Amino acid sequence: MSEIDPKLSRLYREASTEGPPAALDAAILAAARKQVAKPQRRARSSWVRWMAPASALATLVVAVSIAFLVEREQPGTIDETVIREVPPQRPSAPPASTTESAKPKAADRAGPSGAAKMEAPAAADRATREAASRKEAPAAAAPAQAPATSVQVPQLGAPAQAPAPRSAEPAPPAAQAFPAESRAKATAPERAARKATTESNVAGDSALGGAAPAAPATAGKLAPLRQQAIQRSPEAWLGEISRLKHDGRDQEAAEQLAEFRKAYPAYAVPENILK
Amino acid sequence: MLAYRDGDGAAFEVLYGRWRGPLYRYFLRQCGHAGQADELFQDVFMRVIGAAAGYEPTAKFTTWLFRIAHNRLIDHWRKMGREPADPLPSGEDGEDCEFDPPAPEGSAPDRQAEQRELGVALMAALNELPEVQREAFLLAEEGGLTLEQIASISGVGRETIKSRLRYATAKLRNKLESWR
Repeated sequence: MSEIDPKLSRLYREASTEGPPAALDAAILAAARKQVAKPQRRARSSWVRWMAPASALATLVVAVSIAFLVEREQPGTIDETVIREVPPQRPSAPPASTTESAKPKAADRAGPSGAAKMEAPAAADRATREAASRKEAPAAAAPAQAPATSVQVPQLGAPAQAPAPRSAEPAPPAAQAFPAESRAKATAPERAARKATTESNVAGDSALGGAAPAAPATAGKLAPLRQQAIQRSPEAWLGEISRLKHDGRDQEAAEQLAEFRKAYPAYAVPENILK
Repeated sequence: MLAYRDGDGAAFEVLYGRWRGPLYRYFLRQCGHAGQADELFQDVFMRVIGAAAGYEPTAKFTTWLFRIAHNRLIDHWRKMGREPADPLPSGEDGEDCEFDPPAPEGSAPDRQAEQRELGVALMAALNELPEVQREAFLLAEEGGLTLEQIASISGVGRETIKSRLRYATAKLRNKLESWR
């Protein structure tokens, strides 16, 4: 550099020979070596540092996913459970609500309406057959009826479009798809008795507009009537009771009135029906 | 420095071996105290090591190193309650004349002793210079930096550095005149 005299510069360089202490050199070089080794440890430590939060996050995601799945699956599971578990829990109740839901239609058809009167001859034949099968119903509780019962139970879940078969006919193929067969077999005698009761109810419903009900089927009739109560208005029900009284079927009228009062305990029943 | 940044530890040792003396003397001349020079020297190299991972060669390494040293020195002075004064009147230039060291006389041992005494006198004269002039001289002599680089480090213009250097040289020469 021209601003500094070269001779002065040379003199300075000859006189300037100091350096840092050896301990300082060692400390700085050690720090430099440590810094070179740091990046690898940093990479490992960053993984270790993020491992715990990542694990917690993954656990949370899995837990939330399971919760959503369970919540989504629950309604179907509950429905299946209800369909399969309710009948054994209520042995004294009518066999199934689905079968019963079909019965009011049959009852309506067989009732004292115009349509029922038009089908009077056929209804009379059916009533005769059903009365015969109803008499056989108590005996059907024997194990001999068990296969037919196990077939009948699955129909509970199937959409009932018409009155159930009145005899121990072979089961429809679609009914065999129900997995509750084993349970139905386990309680075969019990279900056989229930089936007989159901069939008696159907017969009784069909006979509402015609033949007099048989005594063993009286208790079984109440369940369909209760189902009818759910489906029809109180006024229509009372009108039917009034017709029964008018036809001189006082016992049936009294039973239906009792059912009506169970279903509508706060409803004011007209005087003419109470007499 | 790039090699060291990329993980070559030996590259730092080469770098350190090259600049350990000049940087240490820069601090030693500026502080006049070995203990403070040690502290500042170590601190600067620790900063270099710490900044190695993000080092980008935006300037010559020497300029970068001595800029760190300059900043550290300013901090040190401020901590000590001192502000480096610039005694140069603006526009005034230093005396531009050539330094003529004393001619060797007598035997070789005598000459060597005289050179040592001349060196001591030079260091004493250097110590008497204002900080900014001394810094310009040290950056030029120890760092081998150009006027522009020194100006960049000091944060002043090139002509200012040129003036500081001329004044510094003139004063040193005057101090050594008695040895002629």
